[in-house]
Amino acid sequence: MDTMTEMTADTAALAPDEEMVEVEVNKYLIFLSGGIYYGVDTKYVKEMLTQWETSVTWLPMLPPDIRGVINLRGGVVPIIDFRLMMGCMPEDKFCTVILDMEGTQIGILVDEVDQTVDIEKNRILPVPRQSDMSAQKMVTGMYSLPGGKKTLMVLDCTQLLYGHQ
Amino acid sequence: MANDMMEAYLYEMNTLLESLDEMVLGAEDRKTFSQEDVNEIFRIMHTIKGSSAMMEFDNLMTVAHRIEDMFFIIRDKGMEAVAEELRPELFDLIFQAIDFFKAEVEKLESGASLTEDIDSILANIKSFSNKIQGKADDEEPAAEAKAEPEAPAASEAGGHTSSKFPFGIRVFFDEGAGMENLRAFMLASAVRDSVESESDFDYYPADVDTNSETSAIVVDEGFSIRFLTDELRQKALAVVKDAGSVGNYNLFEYEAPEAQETQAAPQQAEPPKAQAAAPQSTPAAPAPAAQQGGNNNANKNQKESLISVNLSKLDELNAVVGEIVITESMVTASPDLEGLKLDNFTSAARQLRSLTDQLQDVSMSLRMVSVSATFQKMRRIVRDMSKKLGKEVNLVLEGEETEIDKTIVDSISDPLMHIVRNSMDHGIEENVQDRIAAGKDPVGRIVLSARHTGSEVIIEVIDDGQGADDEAILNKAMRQGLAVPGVDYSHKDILNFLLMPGFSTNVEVTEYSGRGVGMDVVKSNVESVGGTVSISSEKGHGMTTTLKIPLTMAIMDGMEVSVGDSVFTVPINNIRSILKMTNGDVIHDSTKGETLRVMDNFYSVVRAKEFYQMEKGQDEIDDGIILWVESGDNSFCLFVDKLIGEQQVVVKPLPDYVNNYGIRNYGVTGCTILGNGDISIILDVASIYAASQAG
Repeated sequence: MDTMTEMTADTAALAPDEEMVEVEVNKYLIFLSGGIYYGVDTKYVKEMLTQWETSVTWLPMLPPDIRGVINLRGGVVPIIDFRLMMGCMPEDKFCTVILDMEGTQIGILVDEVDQTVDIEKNRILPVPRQSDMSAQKMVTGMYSLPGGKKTLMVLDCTQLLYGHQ
Repeated sequence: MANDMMEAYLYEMNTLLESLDEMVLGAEDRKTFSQEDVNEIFRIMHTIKGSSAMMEFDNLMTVAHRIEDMFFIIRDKGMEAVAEELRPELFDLIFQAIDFFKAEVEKLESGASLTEDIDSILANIKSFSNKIQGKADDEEPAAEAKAEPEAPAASEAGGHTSSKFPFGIRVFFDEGAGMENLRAFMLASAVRDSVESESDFDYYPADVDTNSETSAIVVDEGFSIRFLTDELRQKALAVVKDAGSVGNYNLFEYEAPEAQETQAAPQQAEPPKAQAAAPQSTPAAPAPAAQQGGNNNANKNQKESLISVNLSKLDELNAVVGEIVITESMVTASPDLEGLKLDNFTSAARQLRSLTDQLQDVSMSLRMVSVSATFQKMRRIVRDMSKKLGKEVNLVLEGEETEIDKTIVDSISDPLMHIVRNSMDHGIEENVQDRIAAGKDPVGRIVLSARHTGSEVIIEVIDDGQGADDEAILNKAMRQGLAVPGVDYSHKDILNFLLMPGFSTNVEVTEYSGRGVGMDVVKSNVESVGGTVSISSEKGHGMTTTLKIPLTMAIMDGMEVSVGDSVFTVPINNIRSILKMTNGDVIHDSTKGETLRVMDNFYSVVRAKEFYQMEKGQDEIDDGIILWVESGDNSFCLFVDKLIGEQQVVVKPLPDYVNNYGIRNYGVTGCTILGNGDISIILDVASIYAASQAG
């Protein structure tokens, strides 16, 4: 909670021209997967691994998008291939983002990590529902980055962790 | 108030109440309190009184005080003072008091305010005290005479010295310590524990526990503790030295003042008398203690050598130790060392390994507690329910000493309670005549057992009651919409209805069970720690409920084997033999199944590669290895590629994320981290067998 308020204060200081309206601002980590930009709230991002510390251990009888588990400093963390999860073909080039929600950790394989941005909560727009694909459930909103070129899908980490069941 | 003080208080209360509960239950079975029991209850009440007073919980203090008084009478006059027909009342009264204390402690734990109204329980204690006192007075006038000599001693205790107890210690507490009278009282209690006999010492001022005005005396003149012999004083001195807030102390001896010589003379005649009385009471204490055997001794030792540690600290310790073990093998098996001949390094590394193994064993054992305490709680439930329901039931505990992880113990406590209640309520026959007619012992029997297998703890509740009536259950399930008419359900299916949410076979909802939230809650609780619940029952022959819980935090000896690129760990306990076979040994049956003949028996073959639908791995029996494995009554041959070697491994649970896919059913129960940092999958032989049979 402390960091949250700090963050809000920071952004308010950075943008003095804006009206001093209390708007919830969160930092998002943007990553690329299958040509699409996605954003996750940085409070869930524990760390990023650019290469394997150890190899991933395959587990039997699981859907193909779960690549297995890795040993992250003694902890056993499941690894999900985000491309496969979103219905794309897997690629060899990737880096791993470890997400942590209340102690539950998962790692997702993404193509590359882009940057972090501050996003005001009310600027996140709802996603038009087009299909019942389960992958779509993980996206809770859309956001156009300043400059207008990039549009990113905002991911719901709760869905990512628990919606898969 | 300081938080750790509160924590220590609650811990102490819980421990005391638990041991009290256990003891009273045992005493009730024997229908009497031994002298040792009485002393113990007295001691416990005394401690509760003291520490509650210190925490300023007046109601707790008062109740404890009254019970202490009551037991003072019993201790004085012997258990004979309580007539046979009064004893059930006494037991009920004590249980009532225990429940009161427990409820209050729970309130303290949850931060609720304490019960103010303690009149009814006090009235009960008082009326009972009167009963035994009135009776005792008639029967034992001698008791009063015996008590008399103490009276002058008490009145004489107007100063710090006493002729009866010539050897004294005078204690001064730290300046400004506060609550000096209570500190003095706590100190006296500690001294009592160390000298183990109350009649061998006294203290001045004598009413420190109830009279706060004595605080001033303690501050000004010191607190005097006086003993019969110098030896006892030396013993107590150690306690005084260790006690908190003690600023200063000095020793003194009683000297008869010359001016009062004539008066002192008869008093001086007293010490031998008191000493004569002492041997009378002391031999009585060790005798029952010896009767109760090592159990009691163990309890006593525990009291002194237990500390309470936050679970999270233990987890942290375990995590670090686990890391050390892994790092140790990373260092000693480092590829950099390959080909080097390092004698000193190797011998040091060997020593390091044995030490880390030891460290690991110790740190793992810290989290393990015996199920005894949980089982003992069930005694109480059975006792209460058998009184209430009028069913006579004998509870048998087996494997009480089985040790399991603390978190698992906590999580099975409620489920067990539900199951035992169910057995009491629905299992054991309502009518004793029904039992006799069925050729059973009129007294019902519930067995609670715990045991370890290689990878699981198995806890069973077995009753010899009326068992499950398939027809009644099915009818009920239909009414509840759980079963569909026209479908043929097997006996097993029908029993499974019992575990479904919203199922309760009893027509009437009773106080104890049958709220319709029984067994399904048990099921979900047990599943939350990765376990399973199963029921087996036959109409008229009772019911067995089995909880199987995997040992999530444990070290075990495993055999590392490889299949393709994957490494699996098979518990050594499950391996009967490792065999090399050829294709020719395999006997095919009509359904593509394969069997092998081992030691004059045929066993089916499970190929790990096919079972787990793996891409790589050996297909030819000639090129691989057969593990002949066994779990319970099930035995089969597991075909893998290669043996890697035996290793002691730390079992780690798999993340819930993957567990939710039901891989447990395919024998993937956990994993372990190997020396090189890779993860190996631990296989559960029983589940593989079950899955291969089903598939």
